[in-house]
Amino acid sequence: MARKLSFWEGIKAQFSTKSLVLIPIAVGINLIGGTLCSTLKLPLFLDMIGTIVVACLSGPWVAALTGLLTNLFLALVANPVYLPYAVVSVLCGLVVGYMVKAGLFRKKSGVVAIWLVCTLVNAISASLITTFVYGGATGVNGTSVLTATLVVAMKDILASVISSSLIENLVDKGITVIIAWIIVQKIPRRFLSQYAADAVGGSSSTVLDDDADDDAENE
Amino acid sequence: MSAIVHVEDFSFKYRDTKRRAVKHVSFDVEEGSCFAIIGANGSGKSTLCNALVGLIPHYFVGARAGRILIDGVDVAESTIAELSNTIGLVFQNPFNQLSYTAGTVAEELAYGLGNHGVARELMIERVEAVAKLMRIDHILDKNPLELSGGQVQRVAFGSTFIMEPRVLVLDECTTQLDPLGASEIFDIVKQLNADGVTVIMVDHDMERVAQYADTVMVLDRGSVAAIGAPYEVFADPELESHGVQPPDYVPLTRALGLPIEIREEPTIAAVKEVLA
Amino acid sequence: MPHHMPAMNTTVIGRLNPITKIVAVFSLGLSALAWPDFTLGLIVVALLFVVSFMAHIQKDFAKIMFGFGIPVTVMLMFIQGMYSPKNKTVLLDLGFSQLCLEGVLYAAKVVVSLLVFLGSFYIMNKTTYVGSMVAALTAVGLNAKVGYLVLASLNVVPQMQRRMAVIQEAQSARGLDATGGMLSRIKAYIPLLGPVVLSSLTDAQERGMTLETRGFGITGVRQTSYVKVDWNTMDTVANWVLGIVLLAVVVVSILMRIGVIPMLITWGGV
Repeated sequence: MARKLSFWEGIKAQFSTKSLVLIPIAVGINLIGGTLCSTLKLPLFLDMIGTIVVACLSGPWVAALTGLLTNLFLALVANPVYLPYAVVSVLCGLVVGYMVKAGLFRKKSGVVAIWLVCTLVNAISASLITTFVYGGATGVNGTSVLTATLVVAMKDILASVISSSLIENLVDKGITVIIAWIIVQKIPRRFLSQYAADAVGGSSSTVLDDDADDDAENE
Repeated sequence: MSAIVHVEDFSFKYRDTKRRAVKHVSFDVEEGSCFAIIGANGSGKSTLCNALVGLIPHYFVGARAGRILIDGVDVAESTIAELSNTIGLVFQNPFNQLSYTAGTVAEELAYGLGNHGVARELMIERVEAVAKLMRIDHILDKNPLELSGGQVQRVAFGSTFIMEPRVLVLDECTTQLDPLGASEIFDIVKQLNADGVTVIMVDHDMERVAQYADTVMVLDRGSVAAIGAPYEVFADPELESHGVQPPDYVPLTRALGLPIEIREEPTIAAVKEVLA
Repeated sequence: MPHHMPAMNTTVIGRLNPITKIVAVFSLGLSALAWPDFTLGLIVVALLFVVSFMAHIQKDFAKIMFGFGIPVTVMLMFIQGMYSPKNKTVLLDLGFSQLCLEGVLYAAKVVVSLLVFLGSFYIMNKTTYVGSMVAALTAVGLNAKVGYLVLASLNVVPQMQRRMAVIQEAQSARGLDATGGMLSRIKAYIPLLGPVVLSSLTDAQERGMTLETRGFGITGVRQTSYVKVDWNTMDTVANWVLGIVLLAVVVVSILMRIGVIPMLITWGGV
């Protein structure tokens, strides 16, 4: 039944109801991850855990949408400053999603690759937005101060923004990827098996070979 | 009367699981009757309920055999949305039966109608009617997420019943409620059943099953272990071997050496007599 | 008349159609961006303060505008005013660096444009019931699934946060240490987050069942809504005005940039 789907069909197949209901919950995981950091007084964001978990369950485009909605939510309830960074979340969701789809989340080296690529994509795209939308600083976090210090030292705004962002992201995304990996390992198999088809776009139901499992019952 | 629900040699296995959740199940439910499904945890009751409303095969993935007809329509060839006009499902956790799109109970009730494109005037009319039936007309402008479990379950019940289904599937719909909340729901069920709505109930409370059901079906590890009138099924000494405890009055009647009667009332009378 | 709607902002601003407010955010924001310097944006920001009074949200509005505006102005004046590659005209010599006109003007433009977007977005957000917003957008063709995602995210997240708070309380009652070393705090993270995440995922499956049985994702039907959104004469007028303003600003700005008409104000020869 594993018919090869076209690119668009593949994307559409990812957006089943089963996947759509995951998105608000993944947005919640992203935000709770961030809130928990401030409660535990950790100097991190950890606001991409939900996006990565969804990438494993429902594929890159659902992960991208999760990223978009996380920022939209932050813009609506916290501060509209977060809105332009939606681009960053979408890019990270896509990149992580396609890397997971390629099977990288199953190998240790793959997890490291996801961490590094995610760090780079995040740092560069976020820096471009900070520099070109906000002129170098948003004034809402510690990064701005770090950037300002680096600007004094390096005399180059974009390079300073990227450097401060890279330092931060390397630690943050590392922990994020590890936590997401641990959570995915803990998801019950019966739940997981209902999702695998969405990521590859297979058919929904097959005909049961009669009494196929009678021997299984005798175990 | 004719069978509104017809299940024929139905089997289902969730993907990537070892054994079939339901196997070779066949039964009929007469229109207007109350049909109870009982069995231990994991005996396949919920799987069967999901199959009746079309969630299998249209939502859950796996392999199936046999067929299910709802009012003559093959579930596999219909859609869940289409089926919801004939058969509705209410399950256990009230908070998982909200759409999470509504700011008020009224909006929540109207959600299904909106998806079916029902005109707003008719929508308002039906919301008022269902709210009255479910006794939630005083909380129509409350946020559903701020209600108690019992209230949310009545909202969920209303959201299902607003589609005016002819069959209601109640999958342990009062398990998470307190006894008062549960009896309030079953008062409504009784009324609907009397008005001609077919009820298929899954319940752990055997007294309640004995009280409401016309027919009882016992599931044991996915297969039908027994099916018949409550007094027959409950009188069967084999019942406990299928993981089901008969209602309290059964061992009591047996101890008194009386024949097991159709409903609890004669038993109560008999017990009163013995005590007197 | 709306039946059983949640409490809403009933001021003139609150009663505007959500579409009008979206148009306003874009029209005002793009106008401020298009204009060659910061002056138009500054005028719009002043107008937004008036609007916030009309909507009775002036206190919160002022808080967010100054809360964002002051630090970002300081940071950008520092970064752009002193280190922008465009800098030529020295305004102030601070010894270690010089504050220059070009960077300052650029920073001012960025700050006011951001404030226009931020402020108008904030007013829209605070005076509009999201249910009405989604209903209005669905009526003009927004996919019902997109509407679901926005509304469900706004409803699910606070619920998850409450659940999280309960677990957190239980954990701290059992002596969870949130003050120890960095590593022990990171280790405390998973037992806090894990249970919420896993139970939420299983809940998602049942919520999907609910949506399916309520006709979610039905095709070939135009969805209707219980929420009624009015379109008044006010909305027609406001949309026309906003559209014309944007068009006029864009035309004048282009003409000024290519030099057909002179700049209204020249800043030290820039």
